[in-house]
Amino acid sequence: MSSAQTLFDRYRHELAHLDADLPPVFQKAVQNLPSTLAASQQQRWGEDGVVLARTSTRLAAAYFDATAHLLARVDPDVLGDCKELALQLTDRSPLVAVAFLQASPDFLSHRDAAALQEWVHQGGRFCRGSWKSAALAQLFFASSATLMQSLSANEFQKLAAVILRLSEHSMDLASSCLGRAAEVFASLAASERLDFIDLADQVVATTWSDAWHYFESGPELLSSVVKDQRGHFLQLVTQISAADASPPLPILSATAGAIAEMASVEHAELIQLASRLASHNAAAAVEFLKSVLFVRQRITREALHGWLARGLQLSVEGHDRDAVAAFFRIETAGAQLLLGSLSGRVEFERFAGRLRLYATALGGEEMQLQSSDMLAERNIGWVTKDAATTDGNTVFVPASIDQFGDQKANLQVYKVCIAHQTGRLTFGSFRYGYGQDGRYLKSTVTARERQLAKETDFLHSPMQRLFDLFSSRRLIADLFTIVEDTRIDACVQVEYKGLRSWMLRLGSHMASERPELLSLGLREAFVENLLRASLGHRETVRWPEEGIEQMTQAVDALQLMTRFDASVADSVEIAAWLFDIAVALPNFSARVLGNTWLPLPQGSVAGAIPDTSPRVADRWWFDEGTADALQQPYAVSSQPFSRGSFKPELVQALTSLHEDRDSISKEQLQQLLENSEEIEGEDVDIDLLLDHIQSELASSHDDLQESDDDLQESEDDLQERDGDLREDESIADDPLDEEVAATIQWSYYDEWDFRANDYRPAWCHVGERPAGEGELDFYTETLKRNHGLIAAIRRQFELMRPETFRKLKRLEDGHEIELDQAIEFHADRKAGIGPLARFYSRRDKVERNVAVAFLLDMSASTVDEIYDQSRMDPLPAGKRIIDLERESTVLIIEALEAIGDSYAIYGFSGQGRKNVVFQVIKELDQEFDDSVRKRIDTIEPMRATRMGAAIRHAQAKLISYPAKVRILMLVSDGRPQDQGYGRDRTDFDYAVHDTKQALVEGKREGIVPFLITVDKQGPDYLKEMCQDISYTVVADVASLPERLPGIYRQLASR
Amino acid sequence: MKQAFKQLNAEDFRITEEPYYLPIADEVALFESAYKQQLPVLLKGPTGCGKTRFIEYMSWRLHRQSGNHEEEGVPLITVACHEDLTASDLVGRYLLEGDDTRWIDGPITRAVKVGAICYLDEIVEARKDTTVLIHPLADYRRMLPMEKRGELIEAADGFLLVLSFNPGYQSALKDLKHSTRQRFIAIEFDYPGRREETAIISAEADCHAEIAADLAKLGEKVRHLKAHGLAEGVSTRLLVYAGKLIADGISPRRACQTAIAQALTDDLEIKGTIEEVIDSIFEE
Repeated sequence: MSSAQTLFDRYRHELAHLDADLPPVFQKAVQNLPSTLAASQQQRWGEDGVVLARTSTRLAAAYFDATAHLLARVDPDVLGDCKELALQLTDRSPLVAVAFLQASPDFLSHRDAAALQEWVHQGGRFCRGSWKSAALAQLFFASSATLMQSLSANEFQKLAAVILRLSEHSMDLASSCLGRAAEVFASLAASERLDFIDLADQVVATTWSDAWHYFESGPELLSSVVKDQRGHFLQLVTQISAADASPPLPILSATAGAIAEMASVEHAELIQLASRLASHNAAAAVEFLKSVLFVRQRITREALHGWLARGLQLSVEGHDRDAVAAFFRIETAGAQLLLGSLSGRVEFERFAGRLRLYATALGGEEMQLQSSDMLAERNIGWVTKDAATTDGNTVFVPASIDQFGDQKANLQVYKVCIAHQTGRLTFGSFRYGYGQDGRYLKSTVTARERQLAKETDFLHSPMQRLFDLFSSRRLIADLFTIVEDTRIDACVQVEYKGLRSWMLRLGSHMASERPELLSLGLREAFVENLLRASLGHRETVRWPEEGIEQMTQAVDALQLMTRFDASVADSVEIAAWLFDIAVALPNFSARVLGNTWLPLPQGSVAGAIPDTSPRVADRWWFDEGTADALQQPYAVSSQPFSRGSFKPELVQALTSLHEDRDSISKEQLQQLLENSEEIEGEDVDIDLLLDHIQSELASSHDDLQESDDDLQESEDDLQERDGDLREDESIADDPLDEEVAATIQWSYYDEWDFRANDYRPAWCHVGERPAGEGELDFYTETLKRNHGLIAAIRRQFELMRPETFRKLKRLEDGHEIELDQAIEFHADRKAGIGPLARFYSRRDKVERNVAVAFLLDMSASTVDEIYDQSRMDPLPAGKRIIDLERESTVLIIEALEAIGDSYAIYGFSGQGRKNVVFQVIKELDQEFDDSVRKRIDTIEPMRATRMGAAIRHAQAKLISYPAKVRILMLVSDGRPQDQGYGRDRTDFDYAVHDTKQALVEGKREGIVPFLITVDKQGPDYLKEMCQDISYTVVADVASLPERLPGIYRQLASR
Repeated sequence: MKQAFKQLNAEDFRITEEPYYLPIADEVALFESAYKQQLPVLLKGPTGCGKTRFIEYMSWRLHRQSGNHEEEGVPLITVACHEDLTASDLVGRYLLEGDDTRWIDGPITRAVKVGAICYLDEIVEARKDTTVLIHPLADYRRMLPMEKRGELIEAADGFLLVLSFNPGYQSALKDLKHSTRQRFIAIEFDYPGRREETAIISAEADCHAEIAADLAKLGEKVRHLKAHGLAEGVSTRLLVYAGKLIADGISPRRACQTAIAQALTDDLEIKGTIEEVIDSIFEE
């Protein structure tokens, strides 16, 4: 009998006694025992098995199952250790012990036996008596081996600690994360794992509920960072989060997203810079990374260091943390200024005011200037967003220019663009009349028509009719563009000599960016050569030897256009002449031809008038071998951006449409747009376009009428932008929305950030609109109810009139004699001095010239009803603050009408900085009529109170009104408050400071501000907010209507 | 050439040399006709467009036309109106001399007496009571009441009242009353066209024709900015100043900056734009 059989027999019975299923398991284990095992060791093993079986039969089964695997990895003594450890675990949970035994062979294949103890200890700590904790511990043992494939002992230990910590918050989350861990770490590089675990620890420490998301999305977020930097990146996020104890996951996703946008070569540097910043100000580091793409689009890598250094300096100088963060969010004017100075790039928006004025100066008062993306968005035939162009009324320039390294040069580029585009208008590019003779050349259209033997459409625009004469529309359009642009450039250079050097510089720059001639077809190369010559770089022209004479002729013909008095009709003829040459050229790939390409000979006569019939040279290119198969379709040449796209036919059509909508039929317009090759395949909605033109026409009339009132530069922008805001849901739930949105005029105001000690430029968007009209009843009711009070107020106000007569003294002539002066005069005369007899006085009527704007708080809180027990006459039930504001308005209007001061009544509310609602109930120069009465009825509580912006807008309106005394009366029910009007909901300081700053700005402009609040807590913040600005707290809200006129009387009669 | 000190009575001032004036439209014929018919004239137009020069020119021209008799010519009495200009400043006042008083005629009285052209420059600047004073002078009566002396003076034949008025920059407060306005025929002045302005600048500033043309071009461009923040377009006078500076050797850009950009506005943005336009037109 073998020793194995003996062993089996010895324990079989006892095992069978414990569980009938055990012996077969035991038998199998015995059979698999290695023969090297000494009898004593076998003996001990068997006894251990029985001991375990006595505790739990499943434990024993697991032990037997594991034996062979264990013995394959470790020496037999370890078996005993395993037994001991399993027994220890059994105290906590037998199932966990089973899991341990099952996992142990795999564990030992990664670690040596000495690590067992620690491992079991770790696993054991998960067990805290509940079944969930036991399950977690089981999972720990089960997944350990897989984890160890990718983790070092240290890492594994740390991970275990993290999971354990997480399990203290949520067993489920811990299990999920642990379950996911193997996959996560397998996907990470060895160098990233420890950092990933460290950050996981930070996640658990700050926002444990994010842990699962971290395991789930972390690796993917990380993958956007360049490989060798991921570890550093994770350290950075950990550092930032640890500094502020802020949740790491949002930081991770924000910064990873930001870094992903950057070129991978820059990642290392960025992370390094950010961590330098993070050691001073963690929040700023996040903002830095978030802004970095925007910043880098504008400044070089080197300049980025300067940018960061300035921010760091702010930090070191002890600026508020928020201020530094705001700097990196580029929300401070200082930051924008610095960015501007570091960046060579020029943004249209930033210089729009200045550039618009420049365009107006050059092109006349009607000239409008916009960014090119506006035009492309309108979808009326232009598609290029980054080139300059004009549609006949408006000049469009690229949204930004970054051609040269410094801002000054790029601004000059804008000027060149504007000069060229306004030149098209002032030098008559669009004034071509069909069949017109040029100054140098006779028109050939009749001859061409004859040749074509077809009538052109008389209804088309002259340019369109002209283009129809040619077999290739693209070719003639290209040629005409080049020829006409040459003419315009020449005119501009004569008209604006100061721009000449910049035009030459830009021309060289553009010429250096032209496509390689040999990469083009022959016909395209011909056109390209003309363009190069047109840019003033004749020396870059290359042409096959055989045809060089013809090319020279063509370039010289182009030179004709540089004569100052050449006209658009000359351009047409030259273009037509060039067309005849070009169209005869095959469009083989220039490379295929294999000719020798030469530069043009020197010293040709510039500006020679060409023969009207071009001498077609021998067909030097002709080669039977290169058949038509090699012909490629003619591709439109790309124009330099400063000249941009030129669509004279569209401009002419649009202009006539502007004049008369019926001048062009829908079909013709359709055809016209289809001909514009750039927009092939795009659907242009003709009806929409017609509507657009119509509405534009209408609005341009309005503009003319209003142009006196409103000289704000960016009116058109605002119109454009209100499109975005229409989608804002906060307006969308207004039933009047559609109609109202059309009447909103947007203005932009800076906001004061007292922490940064700087303005946030163009931060608030104030939408001004007329208030809706309600019923007359409210007004008449109020009058009736208060007739006694109103009569008294009117009397008081009428008494103010005499105060307006001023006594003029020291006159030669007057109604009364001033005694003092008369005595003085008499004494002087006696003394022999002969002064002028100026001792009369007169009362002179000086016109009372006061303008007052009432700004009513229409915030949601004004809906509060007033209960006041102490009042003798109880208020009607349900009377709200807003009702009292309305009533006060009625009374003050009555008073002001008596005195004749100009007054305006505005209401404000809104939600968020981008939607400050400013309602006009009555304008300063508006007559008081029924529509105003009706509007008072619609004063209703709305949303929040962004006071600063509303004050700034009201003040801007006051300033533009001619008056000697300007007063702003702000009636509110509480402190300024709005979303984002401060760091968070509890930060009132920001709003208070901004409001104060707005009032101070007004004071500086000579406006007398006055605050009236019905808020009993008013004194707390008003003291801070007003300082040297007058205010009053109307504690008894119900007395507001009678108090208001009195307050005004005091203020305005000073 | 040094000019020596010279003192004249206001009514003796005559323009003996032809002032430079380039007629733009029919204003010369209109004025001559008005003078003949004794119709008071209101000259409307922005500052520095040539109103004062025109009236000097007309004074000289009418003078010349009246033949060889110097005494019969048309003297010109100009009063620059200001806020404190009172009726007695215009009509005259008593002055104390020892224990006596002596009456001194004011400019308008002198003009009425000698039959001069009385030119009240920027009339809306004057106080309202002065405008009422001129009413009887400005209609068929041609009378000047002198309240203090209890006298009435009937104007001599050559007398003509001419007002100037700049409708552009006055605020709503300073507008001419209709009762005043409607006693005058109004001749409207505006800045001359580019070609005329070129001629004027080159004649006045004595500068190169090309410089004059560029200045006129600049004038035209800058005037586009009116209503975009500039209260007034650049005046021909300023363009002439710039031309004079250039003729004297100042670089064109610098001359235009001082004479035009800085002179016109303190608004940084508009000033910047004007300088951009200057830089665009003049080479470095």
